[in-house]
Amino acid sequence: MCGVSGIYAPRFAPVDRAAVVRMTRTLVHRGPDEEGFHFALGIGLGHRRLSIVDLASGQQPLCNEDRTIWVAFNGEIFNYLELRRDLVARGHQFSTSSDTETIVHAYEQFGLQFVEHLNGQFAIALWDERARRLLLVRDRVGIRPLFHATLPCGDLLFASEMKALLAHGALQAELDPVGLAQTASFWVTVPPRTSFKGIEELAPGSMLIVDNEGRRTLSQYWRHRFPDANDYEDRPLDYWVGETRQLLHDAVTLQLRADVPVASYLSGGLDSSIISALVKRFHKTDLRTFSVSFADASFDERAYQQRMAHYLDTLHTEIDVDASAIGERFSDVVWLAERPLMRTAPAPLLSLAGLVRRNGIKVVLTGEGADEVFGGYDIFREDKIRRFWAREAGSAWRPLALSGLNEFVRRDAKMEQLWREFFRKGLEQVADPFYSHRLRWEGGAAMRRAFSGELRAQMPDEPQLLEDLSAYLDPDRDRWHPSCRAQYLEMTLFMSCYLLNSQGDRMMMGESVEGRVPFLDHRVIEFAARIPPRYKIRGLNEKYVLKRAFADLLPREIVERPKKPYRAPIVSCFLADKDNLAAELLRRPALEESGLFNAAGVDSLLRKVTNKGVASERDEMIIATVASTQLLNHHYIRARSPRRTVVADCTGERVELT
Amino acid sequence: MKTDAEIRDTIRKFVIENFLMGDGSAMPADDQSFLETGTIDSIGALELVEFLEGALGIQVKDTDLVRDNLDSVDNLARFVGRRLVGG
Repeated sequence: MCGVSGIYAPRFAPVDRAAVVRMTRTLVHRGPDEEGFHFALGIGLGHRRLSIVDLASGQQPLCNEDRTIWVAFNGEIFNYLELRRDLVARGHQFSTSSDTETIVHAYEQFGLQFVEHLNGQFAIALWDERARRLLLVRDRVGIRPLFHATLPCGDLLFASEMKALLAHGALQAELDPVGLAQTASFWVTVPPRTSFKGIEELAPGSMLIVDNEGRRTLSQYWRHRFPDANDYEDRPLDYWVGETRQLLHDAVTLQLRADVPVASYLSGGLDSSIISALVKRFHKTDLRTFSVSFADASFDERAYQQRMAHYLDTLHTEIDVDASAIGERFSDVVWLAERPLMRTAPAPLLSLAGLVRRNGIKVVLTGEGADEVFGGYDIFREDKIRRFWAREAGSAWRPLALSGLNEFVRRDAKMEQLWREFFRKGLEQVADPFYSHRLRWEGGAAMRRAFSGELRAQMPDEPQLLEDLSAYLDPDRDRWHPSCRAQYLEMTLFMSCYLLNSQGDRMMMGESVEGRVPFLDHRVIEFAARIPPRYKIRGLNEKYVLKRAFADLLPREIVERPKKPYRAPIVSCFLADKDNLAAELLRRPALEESGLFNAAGVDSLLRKVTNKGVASERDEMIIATVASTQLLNHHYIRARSPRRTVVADCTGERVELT
Repeated sequence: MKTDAEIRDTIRKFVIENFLMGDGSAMPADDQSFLETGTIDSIGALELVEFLEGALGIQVKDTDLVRDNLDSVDNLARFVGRRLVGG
C-alpha cells in the first residue's frame, strides 16, 4: 500500500522535479518504508511505499524490460500470481515477484483492457513512453483514492491525496461551494467534483488517458449492473447461499496474500465476524483481531466483539475511545480526509488504525461493503416498507412495520404518530428515481442555512444538484428492481465517496495501515447483484442470504442480533469545555473570522444543544460539518503548507533519477 | 392571557431560532406544513413539544401528538389557544 503522485507535462515540456519530490513527501503516512521516483522528459512519477508484497524487490516506480512502460501504483493486485503465470506463459519476463510488475506486463499484453484482468484495489499511474501517454486508473468501487488537477500551462498533476497536489505550489486552495452544496444534500461530493475548486477526483471504475497533446479521454471500464426488474434467474435459495459462501471464501483467500502478517477488525456486527471466522477457520490459526470500544455505552459494542473474539479464540486487542479523544483526533481526521464530514465516526477508526500499527501489523481485513452489497441497511428496509405502504396509502396497519426500523423511532416511541407522518412525505411518488434517498437528502436545506450568505449564493439549487447527480448515475437504473436502485445509490454515493475513503483508506493510511475489503471483490459484487431482491431482504430480515451462508461459522447471538449502525458521539466532542482545535474553531470569533458560516445561527445552535444536553441527528450533522469545514479551512486554505500534528515514521529513502 | 397574534409570534420566533438558524426568510407561511417543507425533523417535533410544555406552559398528552395539532403555525396556534382557555 502506498502513495503515488506526479506531473505530466504534455508536448515534451520539462517537469519540475523538485515539485514532484515535494508532492510525494506529503504522502509519507501512506508509505513510510521507501521512496522512489522516475523522471524523463515530460513525466515525473513519485512513489511512497508501505512494503507488503515482495519486500526486497518491489520498489516503485517499476518498468518493463526495455524501460518504456513505468508504473507507480497504490494498492494490491490480489490475483497477481494467476495473472503472472498467464503472462509468463505468453512470453513475458518478470524481474521481481511483486504484484506491481503484473500491471506493466498486463498492459503490454492487453493494452487498455489490462485493467479488466486485475482483481484488486488500486490507483495506478502508468506512463507509456512510446505512445507518450499517461494513464490514470482507479479500482472498480474506489477503494483507493486518486485525484488530479490541470494547471493553466497544461501540466497535469496527479496524486493519491489532494494535499500532494496543493504541495505543488501552483494551485490555490479554495473551497468549492458546489462541492459544499453536494455534501449538504447527498453527504458526499460527486466525482469529479471535490471540496476544492480545480481539483478533480477520478471516478471509481474509470480510466483517464492524457496524450502528448494534452488531450484527455475519460472512460468507465466498470460499473454496477443489475438484472432488469423482471429478469432474474430462476434458481433456488440454496444456490445463492452456496455460491455466496464459496465466492467469499475465495475472496478472503486471495486477500490474505501478503509477505507480512494480516489481522482483522471485529466491529461486533455480522460482517467483520464472517471475515474473521473465515480467516481463522480456514487460514490462520494465530489470527489477531482489533476493535474500537466506546466509553459511552450507547455506542459501545465490546460485549459482542469480545464474544466473537472468544468464540474464534483470536488474540484480541481493543482501544477505548471517549468524546475527548475524538475531539482531539478530529483535527488530524480532517487533515487526512480532506473534506467536510457530517460525522465524527472516522476519528475512532483512526485511533484503531494507530493501535494496529503499534502492534506491528500493517494489513487488516474489514467487513466493509457487506451492507451495501448484500442489503443490510435500514434505508433499504425503509424503502421496502414505504413502497408496501404506498400500495395502500390509507392503510392503518401497513405503516406499523416502520416501528422498530430506526434508532430514533425506538428512542422516541411517544412520537410514533409524527414519525409516521415524516415517512408519509412523498409516499406515493414511487416512480421518483430517488425515492429511497429523497427523505434523507431533504436535510440539505437545513444544512445550507449554516453557511454564510456569500457561500449560499454560490450554491446551485436542489433541482440543479439533482440534475448534475443524474448525469453521473447510470441511465439504465430505472429498469432495475427498486431495491437495487436503492443499493446502487448507496454504493455509488455513500460507500464509494465517503465510507471507503473517509472511514476507510484515509483513516487507515493515516497510520500507515492497509485495509482490505473482501466483500468488495468485484466478483462478489457482480454475483450479489444477481441475487433476487426477495432473497437479499427476506420480509424485513436484512442480509438474509449472507446470514444463511455463514450461520454455521458464527454464534447464534451474532447472526440474530439486531443490526446496530456504527456511530460515534458528536456534540460532546466539541462543546465549550473541550480543549481541542475543533472546539476552538467553533467559537463565535473563529466562525466570524473564517466567514464561511452563518456565525450567529451556528452559535445559537451550539448554545441550544449545550443547554439541552441532547441534539437531533440533523443538528449533530450540522455541528460536525461546521467543525470539519472550519478545520479544512484552517489546514488547507489559511495555512499554505498542509500540516499534521502526528506524522508517521519515515525510514529508508531511495531516489532514482534516470 | 396571550392573544392569538402573540401566540403566533412566539411560535414563529421559536421555529426561526431553533430550526432555521435564525433565518427568517426560510420560515414557512402559517398554513404550510413543517414536515412537508422540511422545517423540522422528528427530533424537532420533540423539541416543539418541550417548547409547548416549557415556554407556553401547556400539558401535551401522547394523544395530542398529531399533525392536526403540531404541523404548522396555524395548527399550533389553534391547539395552544384551545389549551390556554382550558379546552
